Amino acid sequence: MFKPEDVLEKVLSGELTRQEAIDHWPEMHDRLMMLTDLTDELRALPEQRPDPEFRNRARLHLLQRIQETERRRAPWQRILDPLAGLSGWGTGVSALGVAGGVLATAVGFASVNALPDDRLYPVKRAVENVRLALALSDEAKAGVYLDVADRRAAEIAAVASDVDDRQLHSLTFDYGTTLQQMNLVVQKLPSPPLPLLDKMQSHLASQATELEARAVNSSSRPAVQQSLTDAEMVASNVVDHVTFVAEQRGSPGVQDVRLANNAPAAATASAQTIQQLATATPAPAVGVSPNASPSVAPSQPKAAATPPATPASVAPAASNPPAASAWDGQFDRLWNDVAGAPYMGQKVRLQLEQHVVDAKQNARAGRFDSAIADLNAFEAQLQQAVKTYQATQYTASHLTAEANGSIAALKAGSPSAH
Amino acid sequence: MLEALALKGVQFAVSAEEKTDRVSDLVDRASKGSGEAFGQLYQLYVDRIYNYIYYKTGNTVDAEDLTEQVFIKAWEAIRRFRFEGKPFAAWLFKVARNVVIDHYRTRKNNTDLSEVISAIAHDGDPEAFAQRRATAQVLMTAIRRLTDEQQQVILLKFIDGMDNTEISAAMGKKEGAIRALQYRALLALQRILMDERYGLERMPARAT
Repeated sequence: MFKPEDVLEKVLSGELTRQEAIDHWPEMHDRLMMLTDLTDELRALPEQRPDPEFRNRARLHLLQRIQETERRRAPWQRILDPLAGLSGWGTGVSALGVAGGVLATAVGFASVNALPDDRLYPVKRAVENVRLALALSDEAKAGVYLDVADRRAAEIAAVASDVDDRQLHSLTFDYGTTLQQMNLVVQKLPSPPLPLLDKMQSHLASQATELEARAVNSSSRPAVQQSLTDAEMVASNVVDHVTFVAEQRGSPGVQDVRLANNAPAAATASAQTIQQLATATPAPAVGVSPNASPSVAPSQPKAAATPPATPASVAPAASNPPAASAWDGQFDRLWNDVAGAPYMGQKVRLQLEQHVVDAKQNARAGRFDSAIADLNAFEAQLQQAVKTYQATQYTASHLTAEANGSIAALKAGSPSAH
Repeated sequence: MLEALALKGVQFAVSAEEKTDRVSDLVDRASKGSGEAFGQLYQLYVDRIYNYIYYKTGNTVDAEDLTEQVFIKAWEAIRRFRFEGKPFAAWLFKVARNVVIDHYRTRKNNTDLSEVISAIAHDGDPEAFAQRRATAQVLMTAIRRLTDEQQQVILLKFIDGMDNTEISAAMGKKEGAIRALQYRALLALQRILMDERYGLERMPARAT
């Protein structure tokens, strides 16, 4: 006795070929032929894939929903969350007791530098939550979030090569969430103080630079690299939002103002140094960058991460160094402005710098047409960067104007006086 | 912001076994409230759920809207999810099915098949292309004339590619019942197609 559905299943699952089944059960010949033709047709129906834009939009909505759910939970539950994994903590201890105890004892203090695999790490996270709960004004909250983001970025950088992918994803997720919350708080401020925006901008830029440096060094582990690049992107995007807030206030952004004030002097100084050295090395001064942070010096990891931009590798071939030309000052100025431009994605910055270096070398060799082409590529890259939110409109127009000046000078055949 | 994380979904190339382990780990963490873990589950399943709902509804707007709802409902319910040896996908498709049913309680089934047709690859052979288009259109119309249970088994098996164990978990039936349902559904589908293709009913679909 057999059931026809079982015979069909044997064919569908590949246990028997259609012919074998027909040989066994000749009376099912017609039906098997017909139904397997039909299942072939069904399996050939095109797979419908969601539009990538929808996919991402829906994911974002989902993440927002998840955060709302988390926000609805009682504050003390959230504060104690980090302690959940710590045996002997959390259970049966009142929130205030723990919070007070943690604050009052040296344990909290000692946990400040704890890394994710340290025993005191949950305490560190709990203390952060207490600090957030105690920060009453939005401005104070933004400050705490920025501090927490600094810590997460430092932790990610410190442990990326040691922890497993899951832990790293969890850290980068927390980092992204912290920055998003900081951003929400800042947007609520009717008039965010410029020093706060300035501080946020410089810290975030440092975080992005630091993460990017690690990402470049993690090429052997693509998943880690991806995580770090994601985190870096998050930081860059928030920098952009902060710029936007600053621009809405009628200010082009603190950093832009400062750059406008200082850049010419810094660039001239750097250009002079280059002339004095009388070598072909452009030796661009990264120090123009206003992004210095006490904990992470942006110039250091950046140089380490970007061989193409280090003086040694951008220098023209050592065997045949063309003499420093009158054009150098012009391109060094542009290079410095790119290096110091605030609110710019690190990858874009590197690509732009490379265009300037190419143009400089072409100009030295008298290949003005090639130099102009390099500068055109530079401008196209900038426009693209604005579209992808990797550079602000303000910075882009500033740099484009400068590149246009150089193009005009190249066409005229003599460096513009500056 | 999170948007950047969202834009760059985390993708891994993993074997089936590693994937199962990873899914149960993610489900475990998500059910304890980890939004990050649930975000990764979304990345893993959104395409399958979308494809399934698309074939249930027949248009992009509903498919997008309902896919989003499925994951939001799943997030709200996942704290109550217990593995008990059942695959997570089965549970998720159950949620999806309920969302679609709820949707049609309040709306008439209004399907527009033009989009499916546009998804069929044009390989330069006009005759074959026209043939595939016609086949897909007829098949999709016919699938929608099946009963809900029959539709479910056909979509899960042949559109999503689940095996009978998963389908049995998703539909809450024993595997033997799934085999029988699948057989009846194919016969019914065949009968509808005969009806539509030739305008006459040959070969009554009577299970032997």
